Amino acid sequence: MTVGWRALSRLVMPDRLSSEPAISGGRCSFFVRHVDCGSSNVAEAELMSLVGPVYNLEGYGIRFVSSPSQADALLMTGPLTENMLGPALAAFAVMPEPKAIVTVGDWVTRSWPDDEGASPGRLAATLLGSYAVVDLPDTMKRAIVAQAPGDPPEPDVLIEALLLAAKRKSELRREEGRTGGERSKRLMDLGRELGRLRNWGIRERLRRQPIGEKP
Amino acid sequence: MNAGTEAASAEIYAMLSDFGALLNTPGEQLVQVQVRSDDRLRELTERLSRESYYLVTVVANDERELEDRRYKIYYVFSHLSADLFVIIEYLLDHGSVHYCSISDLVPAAEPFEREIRDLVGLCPATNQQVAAAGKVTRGSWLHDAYPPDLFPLRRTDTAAELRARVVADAKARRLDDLSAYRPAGPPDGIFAGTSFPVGPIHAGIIESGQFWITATGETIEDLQIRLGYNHRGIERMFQSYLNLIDGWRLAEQVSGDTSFAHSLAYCRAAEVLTDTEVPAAARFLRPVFLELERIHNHVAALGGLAEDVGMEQFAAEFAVLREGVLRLNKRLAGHRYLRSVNRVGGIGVAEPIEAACVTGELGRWIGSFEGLARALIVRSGFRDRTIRVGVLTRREGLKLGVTGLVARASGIPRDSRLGHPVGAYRDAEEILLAPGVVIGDDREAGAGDVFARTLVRVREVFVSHRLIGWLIGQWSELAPADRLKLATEPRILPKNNYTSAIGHAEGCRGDVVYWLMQDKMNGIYRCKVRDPSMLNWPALRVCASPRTRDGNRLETLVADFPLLNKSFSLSYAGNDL
Repeated sequence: MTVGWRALSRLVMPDRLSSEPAISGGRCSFFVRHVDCGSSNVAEAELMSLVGPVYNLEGYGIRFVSSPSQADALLMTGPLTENMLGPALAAFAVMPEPKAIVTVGDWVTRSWPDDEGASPGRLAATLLGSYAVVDLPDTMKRAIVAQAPGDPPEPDVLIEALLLAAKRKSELRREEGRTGGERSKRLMDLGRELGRLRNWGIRERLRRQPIGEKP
Repeated sequence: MNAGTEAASAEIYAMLSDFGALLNTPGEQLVQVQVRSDDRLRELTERLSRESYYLVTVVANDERELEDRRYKIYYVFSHLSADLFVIIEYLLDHGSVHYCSISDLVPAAEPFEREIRDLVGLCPATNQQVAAAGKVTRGSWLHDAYPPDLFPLRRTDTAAELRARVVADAKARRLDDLSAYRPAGPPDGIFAGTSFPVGPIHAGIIESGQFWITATGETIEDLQIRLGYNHRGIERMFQSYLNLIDGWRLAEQVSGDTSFAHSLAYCRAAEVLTDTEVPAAARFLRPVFLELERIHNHVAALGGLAEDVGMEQFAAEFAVLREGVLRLNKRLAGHRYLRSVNRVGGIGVAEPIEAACVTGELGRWIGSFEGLARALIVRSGFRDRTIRVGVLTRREGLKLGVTGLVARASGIPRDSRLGHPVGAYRDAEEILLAPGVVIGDDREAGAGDVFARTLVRVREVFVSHRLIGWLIGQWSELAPADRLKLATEPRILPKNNYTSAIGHAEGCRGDVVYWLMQDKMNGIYRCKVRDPSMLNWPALRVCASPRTRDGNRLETLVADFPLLNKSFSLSYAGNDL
């Protein structure tokens, strides 16, 4: 017997199995490329649960894509190891402008809780003393738009960081003052319009119209 | 000690005393023998591998400051059926950095030899009549970007000096010119024309690692695995920054999804050194967490497999089930991945554990899981994609010395919960061996293909569930005072300075083994971490390569490789350290 979709809510589960986003105010269109810069795979495990049905990350409009050249932001986990510096920079280089980075965990930004004696801070300090961990290059440091602290961050924290990043990124685009920002806004308006239209014929007609002209 | 162990240890004592001086070691399931000559080492290794001992770990240690004033290599072997570790302490010549390779006799030693080459800077002797010796080149753990004469596990440089050297070297090399970064070329011996790289940054949420796949048409001809991208210098940090009692914190960082198994293995080693008796409650509750960790990892892997064969609905349902276990973890231990639970001397959880809540919740959970798992393994779509795909035969598995789930799916009964039971596992043999819920057939579960690994995962979830029920029951029967005493305070014993101990725990991928040597002043002289992935990565390569076994041609299609990789579900971070 298969447990059907309708039975899901009866499972030992969650208060949060609906298509409605748990964190309000979050609807965006944001493509993320995950880059593991030397994390202990716990952050990856948590990211995997984000894309599943429970946290339904795509419901917010956030998607993990497979190439940095399609990405609005790089999602960096781990402290950035010497061995990953080259690949991480290569991924960063092919990203479209304006470049943006979201960091996961306390390592990359070196921002750990500052209570002395408490373990996370001391442990982070030891990792930074390691010969195999490099400092983030300045170009990348400047591109950080959001951080998700925690080891690993709780799913809610991750989602909030991603939504914040999406917001910052659209601000960045606007600041650029190029047509890019305006155009993408128009595209999104159009997309919203399309979503409302159920009629396939209308959608097809719209598609043939030049972008920006309201039907 | 059971009868089998006694017989085996009597035998091994007789054999080893021919070879060299037997040393005193803490723990009765441990025999240590000192060997100085190469011929002796090879002879002994050959004998051990013939008598079904397998390699557990290899530790190279810079003991130039200690009594013997030289490098030493410790080969840790273990027996398949008897609860016994045999450690060969091999002494290099005074001032020499060359040793005798054993990877032709024990193929499992090969990755260790490459690791030792990179991190300690010892290489197999060049005059040795072993073809394998030439294969041990630099670059697996420390890639080309590192200064070529940097050996982080030698004790001559302090940690700060090591870091300063790497940083200085990086400054000289690196410009802020992003266009200078190109993907690295193919490793030696690969013709770029017919091969393509996958990674180190994968299309998905995966750790970093690179696969060079050589293919003709759709068939994989060769697979080269290049790891080390996640190398964080963990072993050096153990000895430079942490003390013996706090080391578990770093152990949790080695491989995040098996945090608990890693910290448990560390704590067990440290408990041997500090001679700490773990209270009864912790003896029962530690395995509970260990099994919970196994369950959520197995369920995650099953979901991944379902997704890779295109069964999104199964993947989604497994994801929901996994989330249920993660939330149970959070309720019991305060952390979804069970961090900061272990201590040297016991466990520490903030909230008191409610037995009824665990068993009740898991009882409902296992019902849903059973329905889903049964539906998955009878689906013809799933069976077609996984049966006879990525076969690792029993013989190959034994030869390569694979461990954990991969070994069990190939019909090798290697499980440290049975072979080297610690704590409550001593009395749990019956549950570990009992099928409980009959699911799939035994022949299919030992076939060594992707389907077998799936089936073994499903079965182990049921075993873990039964174990948790039994453990919680045992724990609730303790007197109330004992039930709440979760840890004893460990005390550093100066008499154990420069003494080593082994700690192990059966994590979701196999046995996690820590070899720990105490330094003076509560320090760590050397901590060798061995994640099961280290032994299983070479098997993935064999599995993907075409070969003929018993008249059958075994080959893997490129499209099946993700499936194969997911069925192994190995840790990159645990291998790279």
